[in-house]
Amino acid sequence: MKLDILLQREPIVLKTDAPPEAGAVVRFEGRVRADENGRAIRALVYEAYQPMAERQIERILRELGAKHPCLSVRLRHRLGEVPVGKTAIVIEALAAHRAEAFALTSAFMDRLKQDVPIWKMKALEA
Amino acid sequence: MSNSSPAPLRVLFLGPLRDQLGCASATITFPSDGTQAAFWKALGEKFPVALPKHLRLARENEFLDADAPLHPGDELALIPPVSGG
Repeated sequence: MKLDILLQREPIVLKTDAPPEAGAVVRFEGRVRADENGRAIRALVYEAYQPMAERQIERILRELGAKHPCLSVRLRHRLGEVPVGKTAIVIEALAAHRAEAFALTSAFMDRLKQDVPIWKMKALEA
Repeated sequence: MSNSSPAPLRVLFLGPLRDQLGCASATITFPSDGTQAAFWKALGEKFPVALPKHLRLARENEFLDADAPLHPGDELALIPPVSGG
């Protein structure tokens, strides 16, 4: 399974480029909501322990890929200030069939929120 | 050289923990038995402020199993609960 992982400060631009053997493209985008714990915000500030975050993302994707074989997975997560309405994370899985791609992306998001050292450091009030 | 003490541990405080403790790293004397329990005790003595719960220890970019021994000179990362995505 091909992996392409990037933690970046710039806005995420990720165009789908699927080979003919990919019958399924499943893409999840997580965006910054306008409220955090009931308060209106204008942005979230993300920080990562980058070498470990990248290592853990790869480890989790390899583990999930063994269970839900996909052709490739691309992952982007923004760091620094991300305004409301903008994308903070994208995961895109290409697979022969949809079941594996859905399963991998969903399970990855659960694991991200347990085992990848990335934090919402601050919510900037609106 | 024969009576030199073991190299201390370097500890990185990550994410919100850095702000809570007011520093990014610290040096901790190597606990004589090399256990994580002794490490947490030594850390608590150095930082008498209440440490947040659910901290996890990592070394070389991997989480440590609870029974993994520590080694002199280790660089450890203290990982508070994460909140990415």
